[in-house]
Amino acid sequence: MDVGALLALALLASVAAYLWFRDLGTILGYKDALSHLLIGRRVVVGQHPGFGQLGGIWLPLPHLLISTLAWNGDLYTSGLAGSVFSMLAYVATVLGLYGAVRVATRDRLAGWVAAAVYGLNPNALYLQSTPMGETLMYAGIVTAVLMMLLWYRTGLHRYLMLAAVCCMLLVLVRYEAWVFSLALLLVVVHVCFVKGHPFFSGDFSGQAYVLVFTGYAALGVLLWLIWDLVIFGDPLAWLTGQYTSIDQTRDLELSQVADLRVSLQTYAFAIRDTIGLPLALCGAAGMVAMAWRERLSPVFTTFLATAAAGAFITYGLYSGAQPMRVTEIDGDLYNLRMAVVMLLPIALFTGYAVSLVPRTGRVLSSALRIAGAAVLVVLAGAGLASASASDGRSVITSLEASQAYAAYQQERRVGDFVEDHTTGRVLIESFANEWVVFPNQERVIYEGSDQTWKIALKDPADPRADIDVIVMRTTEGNTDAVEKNLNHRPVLTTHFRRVLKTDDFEVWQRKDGAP
Amino acid sequence: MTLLRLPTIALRHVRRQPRAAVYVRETAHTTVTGPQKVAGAVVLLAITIGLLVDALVTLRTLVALGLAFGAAYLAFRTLLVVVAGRYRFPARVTVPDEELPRYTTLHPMYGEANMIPVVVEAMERVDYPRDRLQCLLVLEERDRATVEAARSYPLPDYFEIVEVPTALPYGKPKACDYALERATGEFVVIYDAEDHPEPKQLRKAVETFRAAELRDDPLGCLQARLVFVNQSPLTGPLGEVIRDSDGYDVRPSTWCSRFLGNEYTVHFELVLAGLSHLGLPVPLGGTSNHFPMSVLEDAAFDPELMPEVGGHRLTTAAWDPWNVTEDAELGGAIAANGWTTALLDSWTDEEAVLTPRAALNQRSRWLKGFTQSSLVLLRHPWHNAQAMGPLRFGGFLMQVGGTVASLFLAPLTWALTIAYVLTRSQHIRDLFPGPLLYAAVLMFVGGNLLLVSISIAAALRRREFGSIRYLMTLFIPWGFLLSAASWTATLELVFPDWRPMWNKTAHGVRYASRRRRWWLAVTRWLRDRDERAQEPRPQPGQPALAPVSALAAAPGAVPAEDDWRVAARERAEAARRAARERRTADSRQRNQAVALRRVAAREAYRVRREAARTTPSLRGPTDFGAGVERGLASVSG
Repeated sequence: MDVGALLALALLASVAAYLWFRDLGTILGYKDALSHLLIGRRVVVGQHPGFGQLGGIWLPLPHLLISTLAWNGDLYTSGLAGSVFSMLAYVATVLGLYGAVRVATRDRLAGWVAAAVYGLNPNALYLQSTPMGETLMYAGIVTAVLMMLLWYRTGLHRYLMLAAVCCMLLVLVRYEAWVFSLALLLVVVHVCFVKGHPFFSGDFSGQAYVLVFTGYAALGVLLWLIWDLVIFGDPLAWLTGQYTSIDQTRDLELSQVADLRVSLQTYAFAIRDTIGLPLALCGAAGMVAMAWRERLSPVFTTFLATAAAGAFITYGLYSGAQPMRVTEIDGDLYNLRMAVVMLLPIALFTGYAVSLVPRTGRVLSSALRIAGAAVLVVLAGAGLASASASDGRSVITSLEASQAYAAYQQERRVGDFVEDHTTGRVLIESFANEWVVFPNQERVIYEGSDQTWKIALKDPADPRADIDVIVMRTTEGNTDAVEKNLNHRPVLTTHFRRVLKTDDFEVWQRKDGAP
Repeated sequence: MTLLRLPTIALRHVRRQPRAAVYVRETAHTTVTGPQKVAGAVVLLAITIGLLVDALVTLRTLVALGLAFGAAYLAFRTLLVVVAGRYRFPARVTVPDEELPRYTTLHPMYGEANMIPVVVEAMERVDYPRDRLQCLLVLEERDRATVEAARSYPLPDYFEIVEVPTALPYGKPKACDYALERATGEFVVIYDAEDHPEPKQLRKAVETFRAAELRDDPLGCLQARLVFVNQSPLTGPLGEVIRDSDGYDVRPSTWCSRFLGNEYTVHFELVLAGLSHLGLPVPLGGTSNHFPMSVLEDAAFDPELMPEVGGHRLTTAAWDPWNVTEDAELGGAIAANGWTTALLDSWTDEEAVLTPRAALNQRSRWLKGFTQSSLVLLRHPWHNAQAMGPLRFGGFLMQVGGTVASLFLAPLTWALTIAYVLTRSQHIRDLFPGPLLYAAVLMFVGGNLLLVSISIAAALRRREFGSIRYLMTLFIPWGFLLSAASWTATLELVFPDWRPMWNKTAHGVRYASRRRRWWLAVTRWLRDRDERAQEPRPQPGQPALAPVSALAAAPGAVPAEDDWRVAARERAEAARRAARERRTADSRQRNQAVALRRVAAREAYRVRREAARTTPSLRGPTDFGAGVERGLASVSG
């Protein structure tokens, strides 16, 4: 009954939130959301459709899912092609949190609280409305945690295999999940120690469990390395290639880089802004209580494993691999959504904290439990209430997205111009110009078009490239490959004429009658 | 879950349909018939013409067909594994001791003189009234060593030796057919020499058959689960491998035996359960398949097709003498005749081969037999499909022929993949346009992952944790071994003189690892050297060593470490001999009376089944006592 009710409520919240943020116009605010949609659509629609469009920096699973719907123009332009999967993942996460806490504590109310802490968080509701990959990762993490707990509690092997398969898929969603999978592997080792499964003697059960889990999780990583090897000729293209996070953040002046204190502060502020201090404190209190009461049992370490992604992001801030900016330190907002992942451990530990209130069956005890749970639910939903009251501006991730959306107004205008006033193939570098590419995706020759891209950069009039429109970014100090290769060259001016010039862009169209 | 039930519902619906044709069983005496050769030639000609006209399109078509087959095979196997979880063993009824029928166990052996005591020991543990048990040691006349060993061994009364006259074709099926003529049981089962059936297995089989009779269920065969006990070595409480005094593993195990054991788990616990659940024909395993004698008689070949053995043609030939997986073929024949096969909730311990070469030999024989069975079925595909039912026909063909074909094609996919990675050849790329490439990659990665996952799940289910590291690291060499077996089997069929038809699997092999064997050899050499140095030189005319029997007989003599086994065996044999002598002539008379009653029971069973078939109103709870009375009347009449 609980699951049915929770499912209905989660679906309702998911759809309502999607409609709310769609009306606010922030669903495609994050540029990454746009990139996910673009890549997913390239697999099925475009000048060179196919799975070869996957690979590079982004992990492929979200794009594979998006590609199943992105062939439809309406679903693509509205973002629903990606949001649908995020919404389903949100529902799965809510159910998974309930299940995990219920399995861990055998307390229904605790399960409901954990589900509410995540399910009512406005930033989680915003992310589930977008085509971002975060919500998919949350669902995978929570499912893996639930399976791990079930394996620990029941000893049934199928749960371990399912947890391992979850991790295999998870490592193809986001890189934070690699660290989470590693943490869960440590939990498997922990469980084996606790349950006395030997590793190098007896029935070798401990060894078998560790191998099975590692094998599946590592298989996802291995497949990714092989894929990058096949597509780019370098298995580490995702780490060392162009357009990586490290590559992008190198030129940014980030205060937290190489400063652990500022990195921790930045992430703490991000947690406070996205989750709220009271809930974070409840989660921390639950964690301390659980560590004390459970004597560091596998249930505790399984819960703790969900914090691995947050720890990894914090290290990313310190090492400069991940950019994040908070108003308290940097004066503006950037990538605050990366703190939302901490909702998972906070929800789990808060649920555990609720389960500590004695269940004596007496009226006072029940009232205390329900009151406590209600306070937590109110805390979780407080942001939601204020969000609806202040036109969504207090949903900080949505606010960040709307600011980013506003910043790309010129790109959108150029994109609309190309869509409305030109025909034929468009030569443009996709990186940094996503909003220009977005409405013209099926016509675009870009850096992922392999040979055609190289030919077009040398001579866009070459019949093998057959370029009709050239879009280049002319901002000073930019790295636009089209601009670097073609601007001011005779091959451009001979066959093309400029039809639009803005502060940052030039659009060139092939002259009529040109070969 | 409803979706999972759809195949079951569809197949059950099909099972109720009347059969459009009568199944005619044929032997594999001729591997490929004339029309099949013509059909094959036509296909080859079409491919050749296609290659000449448009090589690329032809090759792409072949690739597409191969991928479609691979996908169908994977889907079929996955379906079997998934529905296996829904399989329930058939119900049993209690059968009192006095109503237990006569049971015949066949023990075909060749070149296995050392296994006679093992067979006896295994059957001694079986919980079944000895006066209703007939164990036939089926030996080849030309295998004098085994025959002599059996004759000299103090066999219990219920054992009989059947010497199969020397006649072509050699092999287990013909020997079993010959022995079947001497079987007096109402039920028959086959056990290999190294088999150790669960003690209650025969009782469970009877109880299941009787329950099926009460339900009027046409149960034609029960297949017990086969378990390779040496999938993992025998270990002590601290996990140490237990070895005998010579340093050999008490229960030898290698990576091969681990893979074989795992495959048996997958086959008998998942695949066969899935087949049985769906009502599809079950390709029977080599041993531990229990049949009512009447079913074997029903499914028997036309005697005219059988070879002459000992001056007459085999009259009750249930197994195809020319087919090297005669049991799998019999499974199909049983289904085609309207009988069902179920799994018995019991097991038989077997011994897996230990070396890759032995595994290759065994597998090539099995796959060769699967090919033979498929070719026989495909002689009259339309007629056989009508006789078996299209889904049953397709399912059986996919299970036997599909296994061979998938293993046959696997090296080609591996070779293409490796060649492409190494050369990045445009020619290979051309073979796989977009959708085909994705399908191929999905099949290659997803298919192999799926098969390995099934193996791992099976190992975890059986708690064979020690095998996991082998399954996860050596699945590629094992896959190559299986593919090599498939190619070997094909070559053997194409060039029949290349190898003897029956690659006999050696049983009772002792094993130590290469490193341990080397160490054993060194220590043995050192020990022998020390002993030689200490021994007094024998005087002329005096034997170098006293015989073991003399040592054992000498009062107060303590046998050497290596001789205590011999002494113990001699004592046991003497005890058995004495016990045998104690049995008097009246026990022989009692046996004869029991035999007469068995014949009557068998006849009664036949009469009753015949009556049940022809008169539907007679169907209902079976009165065995009345049946026996009718049988006795018919015998006396």
